[in-house]
Amino acid sequence: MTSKRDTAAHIRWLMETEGETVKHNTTVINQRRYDVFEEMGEEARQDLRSRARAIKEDAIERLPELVEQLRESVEANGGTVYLAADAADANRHIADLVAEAGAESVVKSKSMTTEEIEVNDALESGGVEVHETDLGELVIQLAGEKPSHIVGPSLHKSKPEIAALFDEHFDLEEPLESAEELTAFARDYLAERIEEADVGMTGANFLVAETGSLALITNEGNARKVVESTDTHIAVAGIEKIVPSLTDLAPFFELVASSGNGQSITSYTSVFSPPVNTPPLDGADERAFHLVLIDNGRSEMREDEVLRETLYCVRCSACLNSCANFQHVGGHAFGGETYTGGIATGWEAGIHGQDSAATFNDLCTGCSRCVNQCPVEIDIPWINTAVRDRVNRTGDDAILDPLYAGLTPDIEDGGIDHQKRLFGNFETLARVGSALAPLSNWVGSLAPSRYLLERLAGVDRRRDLPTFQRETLREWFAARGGTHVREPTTDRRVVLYPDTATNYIDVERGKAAVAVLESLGVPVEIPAVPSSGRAPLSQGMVETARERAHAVDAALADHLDAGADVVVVEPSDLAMFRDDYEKFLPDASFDRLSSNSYDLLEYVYGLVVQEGVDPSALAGPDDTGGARVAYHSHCQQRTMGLEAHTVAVLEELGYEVQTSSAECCGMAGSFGYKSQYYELAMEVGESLGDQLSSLEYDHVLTSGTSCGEQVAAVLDDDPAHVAELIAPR
Amino acid sequence: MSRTNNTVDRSLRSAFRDRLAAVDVDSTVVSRDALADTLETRLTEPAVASDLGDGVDLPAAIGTEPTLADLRAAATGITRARLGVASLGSIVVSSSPGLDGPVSLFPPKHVAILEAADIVADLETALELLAADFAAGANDVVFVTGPSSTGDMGELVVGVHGPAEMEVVIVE
Repeated sequence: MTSKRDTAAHIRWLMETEGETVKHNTTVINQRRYDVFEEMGEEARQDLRSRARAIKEDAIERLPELVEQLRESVEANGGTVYLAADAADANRHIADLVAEAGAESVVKSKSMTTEEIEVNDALESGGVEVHETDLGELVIQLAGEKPSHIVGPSLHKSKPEIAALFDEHFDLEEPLESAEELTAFARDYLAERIEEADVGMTGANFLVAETGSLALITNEGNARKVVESTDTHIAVAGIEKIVPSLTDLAPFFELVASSGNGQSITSYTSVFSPPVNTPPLDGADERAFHLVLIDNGRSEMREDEVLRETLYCVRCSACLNSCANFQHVGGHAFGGETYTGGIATGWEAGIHGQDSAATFNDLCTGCSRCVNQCPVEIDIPWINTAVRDRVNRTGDDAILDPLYAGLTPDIEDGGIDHQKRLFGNFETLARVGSALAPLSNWVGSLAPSRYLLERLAGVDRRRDLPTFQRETLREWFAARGGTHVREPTTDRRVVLYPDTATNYIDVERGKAAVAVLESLGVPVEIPAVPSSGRAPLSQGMVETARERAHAVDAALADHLDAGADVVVVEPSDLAMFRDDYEKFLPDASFDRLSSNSYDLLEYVYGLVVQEGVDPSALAGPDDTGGARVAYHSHCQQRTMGLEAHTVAVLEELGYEVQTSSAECCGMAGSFGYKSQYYELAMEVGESLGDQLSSLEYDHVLTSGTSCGEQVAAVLDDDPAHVAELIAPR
Repeated sequence: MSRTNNTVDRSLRSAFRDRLAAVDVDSTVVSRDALADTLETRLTEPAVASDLGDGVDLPAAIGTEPTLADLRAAATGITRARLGVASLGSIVVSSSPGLDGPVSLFPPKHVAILEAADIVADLETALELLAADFAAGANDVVFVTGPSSTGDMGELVVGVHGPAEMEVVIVE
């Protein structure tokens, strides 16, 4: 296992060498995707997504049957089909096909599946020249590197780096500088390679069982050229690429282009049933076509309840581009042997094995920003969490220290590492820390304690630890005699959920939440409710999270049945109630909780904007000393579509709100505390800090605990929770 | 192949032309009589064409059975388009059995001739028609939307393995 120090060093090195180019390219594409989604319209896009999802679910369900149907169709068209069990099997067969064609050189269009099986190495070791014709693939082929991104394999390379690479590899009359010059040179060079080649090799974005057709999606036009110019075409594709019929392609063409590249459709979207009838341009009499279908773990993935969903992936890279960690470090850290980004955990675990997934899986913080971007609605954070759980169970870190074991009363089996166990049991730590405050804070801040904490549990010494409050929110609430609303103005009553951060650490925002709700005439109570399980879930401790879900449900059931609304301050806990608990609770329990729990500001929005409750007791710009607000909404809050409610309430009260576009603050609960990820988390945080500090504001606001800690760390300012700004003065 | 629509839907045509403009493709609408003259003004020689069917008189210098050398030397390639997709500004080139594929791909400029009646609303409709074409023996189409492009050399560059320039001549 790689040490935390080595992991940190590797990430640091990649951030220094590739980070800037990766960040530029991914953030540009990320914004383009949002722009084209807006152009498409949310309703139209959701309609395409649900159709695409249904087609994939059906196709994977019927996969064995579709493989056979495809085989018959391709053979009827005059092609051959080979189903390769694994990479070695595929490469042997491809080498035979190339030898039969008498080929000395092969030209390829871009295909991640051929990267997966490493066919270039296999062919080259047999003396066959292989030329990549996609310009991005050409760049990494020349550099001898692996793709850093599924769609843009050389996305980590800057223009000057590409120019230097060309200068090194080609006998240039004068150095190439502009992107136009580089492109023109590559085009002419590759046109000659294509003309010389005997075999054209492509992947396939989709395969159509009914007609034996391939769909290829490109912008450069190289796939078409490779197919039309050579007389032997070998297509290499995973079995998961099959859809039943030609008309099933309709939702995918727009989804792949928009989700992947921020285009309505790519320049070239080909649909053809090879061998095609276009006369071969190399003078040969006829065309040959060979389809090599790759299993390589996919049949087992299909039988695996966690990994099966990965087979719906259309490899658009939306989950890479929308990921704050990916944007700052790229696929050479956030990726396995072949695949990169959030979805790579599923692909790598299924194809190269769990060990490959384990090398980067922790880089998914579960922030969920990719979830609504995925064109086939894959729950990518869940795949990461569930694989993390499996990885946890393979370790050999037995907990021997009785004190440590006492502080980590989870129900996980042995094997999980100390760091994950510590963060997964954060509620217990917070409870003990609060009971022993201020002593616990003082001891915790001492250099020897920080040294031990870093050494034993990988808590980075450079990060300020949270300050535990001696008086918890619940104790304060009881001491003030419960709710102060004596004459409710509404039938509604609120159970304010005492999340771990609000109850033990950020108690002031809890008091503000009570004040806001009571000023709107709503009675509040704060019963004892266990922690939501967010902390253990984020560490892959699924069984502990499941146990918490049942405990929360038990604690809230009577309140919900009696008609109370559950209001949640911490968005990551609300996301548990609304989304994650669906996996843990019976349907009726999940429905009861998810449909009656609210984000604090969503609830205020409902009262003020929808029900017309008078908000005049809340603090407006005149009370707080300025109208200009800079607001960073929590990642999961935005995924739930709840950023707008906070903005609307603030505007209703007379504030002018500017919001950040950073996907995540980088802290993500425990992630920013971990010594191996501290520097990456800070880099992500600095991007948010740069955005916020470029704004002119009177108040800087956040809604999540982590976001607040991170913004305080990167900005020379201490952000408040929204409730603290608007609570009555 | 059958005509797609019996009448020309002018709002569809205008939506299609707007989307073409959005993906940097020029378009003109001409009468059938004016088609040959229009093509002559649009092409840069040397030009190559695929079999355009009856009723299109090309200048004699333009061969419709180009060799690889002709394709590589050509400045303009002229083909028919099977369909136009209004919502996306795509044209559908049927690549087989003739040389429409290479003629539309190799030269730096592609001029496509599209019957106004073959403009359809969206991808859905286009794929339904193409599925029928495939059932009747067609086997090779490409949706072409704007010029060939890449972002792999550090910024967006137009004209990579395919044309940098496109024009659609709509015949009614």
